[in-house]
This record gives sequence, C-alpha cells and structure tokens, in this order.
Amino acid sequence: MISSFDNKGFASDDFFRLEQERIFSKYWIFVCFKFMVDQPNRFATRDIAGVPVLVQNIGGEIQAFRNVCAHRQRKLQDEDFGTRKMTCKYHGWHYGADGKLLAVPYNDEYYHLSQEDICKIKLESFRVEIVGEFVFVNLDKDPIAIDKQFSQEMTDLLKDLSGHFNREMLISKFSFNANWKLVNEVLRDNTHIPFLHTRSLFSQLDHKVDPPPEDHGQRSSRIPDVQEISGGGLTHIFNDDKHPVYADKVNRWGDVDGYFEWRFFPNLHVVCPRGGYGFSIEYHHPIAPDKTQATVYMMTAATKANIPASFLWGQMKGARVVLDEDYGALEAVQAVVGQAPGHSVLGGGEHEMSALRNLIASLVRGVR
Amino acid sequence: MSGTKLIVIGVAPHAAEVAAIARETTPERVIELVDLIETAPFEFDLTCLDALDPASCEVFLALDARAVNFSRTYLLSEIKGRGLKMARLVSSRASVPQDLKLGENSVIYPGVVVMTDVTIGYNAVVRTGCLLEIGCKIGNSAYLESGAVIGPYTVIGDNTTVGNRVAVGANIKVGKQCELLTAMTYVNNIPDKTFYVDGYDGPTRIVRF
Repeated sequence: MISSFDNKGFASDDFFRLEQERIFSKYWIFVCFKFMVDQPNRFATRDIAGVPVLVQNIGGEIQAFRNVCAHRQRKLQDEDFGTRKMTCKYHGWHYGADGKLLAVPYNDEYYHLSQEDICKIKLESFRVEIVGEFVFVNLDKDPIAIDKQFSQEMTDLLKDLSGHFNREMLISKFSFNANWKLVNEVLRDNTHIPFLHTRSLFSQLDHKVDPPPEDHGQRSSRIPDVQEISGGGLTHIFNDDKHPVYADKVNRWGDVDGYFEWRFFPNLHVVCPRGGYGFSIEYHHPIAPDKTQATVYMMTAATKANIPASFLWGQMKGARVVLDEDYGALEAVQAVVGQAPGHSVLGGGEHEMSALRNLIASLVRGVR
Repeated sequence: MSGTKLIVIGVAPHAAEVAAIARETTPERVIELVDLIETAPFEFDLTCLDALDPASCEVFLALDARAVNFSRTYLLSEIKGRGLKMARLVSSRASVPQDLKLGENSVIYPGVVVMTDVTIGYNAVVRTGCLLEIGCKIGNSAYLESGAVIGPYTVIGDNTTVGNRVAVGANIKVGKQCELLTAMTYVNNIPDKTFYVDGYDGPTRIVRF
C-alpha cells in the first residue's frame, strides 16, 4: 500500500503551516492538568500553532486567553506554570475575569484612556474543556465539540486515569530533530521494538506482533473519523513479577501487570508504563517541520506514603533511554525523508498508520 | 578513634576509593573492606553487620551516588540503629581548615580545598578537586562530583548532587534532592527537586500541586 501523502509532508514548510492552521488551530489541544490551575491566580502556558496560550484561574474559574498584553504585546505570564495575577510585567496593565482590562497604571497622568476605552479592551479568549484532570484548549472561534474529537470511551478513560494521579509530578522537556507525525507513527508500530529497543523494552516484554486484520485492504484507503484515530495502542503483559519499588505506597490503577498506552489525536500520548503504579503523559509539540519538543509529565498513582523524588527522576531517566532510542531512529528518518519525492510503502498491518496519514492528508487539503 | 578498627562497607569502586583514603591518612590503623551485596534494587544484605562489635570498630558506609543517596540514608540509619559508630574521613592530601564542621560518614577526597567557616553535613561525599569557598554549607547526603566549585556562603541542600566541573555562585541557595549535572555556573537560587542534566530543554522539576 502507498502512503496518502508525499514524503515531503514530513519536511515541507507549507505542509507544516497547513497542519498548524487546519489541525492544531482547529482541534482540542492538551495544555495542563486541572490541579495545576485549581487555585485562584494559578496558571499554565502553552504555545499552540504559534499562538501563546495562557490558562489562568481567575476567582476559581479556569479560562484561556492569548498570552499577550493588549498594550505593548508582552507575554503576560513567562513561566510554564505558576501562581501570579494577570498583570503585565512591562507597564503593569492588569486583567481580570474574561480577560477584561481592569487597571492601567498612570492612566490619568499619561495614557488618558476613557473608562469606555478600558471597558472595550480585553484579551482574546479561547474555549476550554476539562476532561477529568486534563485541560484542553481550542483556538477555533467555533470549535468542534470535544466528543466529536474523542469518543466517550476515551474521555471516560481520561477521567478514570486522572482520578488516580498523584499531585506530585515531574515535568520535563526535550527536543529532537524529527517531524511530529513520525512520533505519532512510531507509537502505532510495535515491529520496531526488537530492533530499536533490544536492550531496553524488548528484554522486559513478552513481545509479540499481532497479525494484520483481515479488512486491512479496505481500511487502508478509507479516511477515518477523527474519533477513530485516538485509542489504545500497545499492550504488553510483563513476563516477570517485578513492581516499582514504591508499589506498596500507592493506590494503583487497575490490577494488571503490564504496559498500556493510548493516543489522543493530534499529539497527546498517555502511558501506564508498569501496571498502573505510575503514569507518563507525553505531549509532542511541533516546533518546525523537522523539530518537535516533548513535554513529559510523570507521576505515580496517588500515594499512601511519601515517595522520595529520586524514584520519579529515576523512572524518567529510564524512560528517556527508550525515548532516545525512538527519537534517534526518527532523526535518522528525518535527515533524508524530505530529500527525495515519493511515497512510503506501507505494509498491510500498518493500517493504523495509513489511517492516520489519510486523516492528516484530508485535513490539510481541507477535504473535511 | 585511630585505635579502633575501621570497617569500610560498600560497593566497588567507591568503597575501594574510600578505603584507600583511610589507609593513606591513617596507615597505622587496621582497615577492612566489606562488600555490601545488593539483593534487589535498593535492598541490601545487612548480615555483614552482625559480626561487628560497636566497642572495637568504627564503620564507614561507602556507596556511590545511586538513587540520589536515598539508599545511603536508609543504610546509615540501619547501621546507627545497631549502635555502631560512624567514621569521618578527610584525605591527608586535601587542604582543610581546623574549623571545618564535618558530619559523620562524610568523606573528603584528595585535592579538595576547603576555605574557612565551612559546614558539611553527614553522609556527604566531596570528590577530588572540589573547591568549597568561605562560609558555604553542604547538606546531609550531598554528593559533590570532581571539580565542583561551591561559592562563598552558598547552601547546597540535603541529598543534592553537584556534577563534574559545575560551579555554583556566591550566596546561592540550592534546594534539596537536586541534580546540577550540566557543566555551567549556576547563579540563581534553585528550588527543591530540580534537575539540570544535558539533553533536556531547561531543568526538569518535581512539583507538588
């Protein structure tokens, strides 16, 4: 089967711009967890499709705005998260509920803005949806309903998982030189595991490759609904009885000793790396056609006793070994994928990857 | 305490290094090296402690920096719980003032220079070539890798690791359970549970919300 878009789709500036405009500006994008912004003046920031987005708790309500002061265009909040009022650090313009301008220092002496002018000035706002602890923002003025993007099963899963999250969380960022779609694809492929993860994941898993579904030929050319693209991925049951050293200190999710993961279109990946004792939430931010930044949020299941920080950090370092094996391969692909025109050859078992490509191609071309 | 035997318990190569420092510094003393067996991650066979007589020996626990010293802290409490006295070791080739306050089970390697009015907590490791400027405080179970420079009156928190060729400026407060491994000069205060490691975009942090 031949891929639905040219390999240049992984490297072209034009294709990237269209993705930003027609996917990342149109669909619900994960920004933060509710517990990060559940107190007045707490905030979290995220760049979405080139737009600096601020999620801020104002008087107990979680709202989203363009993170730019209306006055001289400085970012209102600099940090990724924190606790601070919406006051610009440049000239002290202060904003409140619904992004309305509340105060302008030296207005009487210098700016001479009328009360009517001040009432008209407000930050550009965006829609927010909260699913369990997951806070999503949509840049579109008339966004699709979130239940059109994620099925009931997937939103129920987010609620269920996030009910088990501990409130102490590791937050880590790192970049790699590969297109964001390549990350999405490697998550839909477990035939690479014996080759890329020989010494890491492969040695811990009872790895097997499921045969391709019988209807793969039919599915390969179909453009799927957005909802269909999000779902469960690799599931591996461990062939040992090892548990994390903090296993007895947490209330685990589920009771199966395995590796579970789920993908949420377009760029959120949720992982239970070892039997529901902990979680890793990976957000893949497209920076450029050939550059992606991963933000990894890692937490244990809710704790019954204190766990030293070293365990989470140790877990992150272990995960990084596996991620670097993936990203190293993706960077090698990225180095050449855009140089020669043509389409990738996909096998019958790669119908999920094919479906993802079909969907992205249709969205970028404006077919749907 | 040089009349008593010194038992260095630990894992190679760190334990061998510590034993060598002890032999060089107190050549007349009887020094035994006992391997500590790790039976599972973070779990150790402590039967080697059973034969030790608190009246006739001191003990030095010499583990490497694994788990940001959590294992060492746990083992230290196990050893002290048996009434065993913990040693302090300063290499004869280190430059250390009389007024140094050094906690038990801490070791200063050869080539370290310590200025006046410095405090080092218990269970800390200060490896070769470190410079500890005037008035700085090094926390319990801190681990200073070779060549680390700690500025005047700076505080390094408990269980924090400072990496090779890392410099921390003057009057800086570095929190607990941090890792400063990216070789640069740190000039701002650093919150607890912050990790600077090459290959990441800025620090990794652990935050309780």
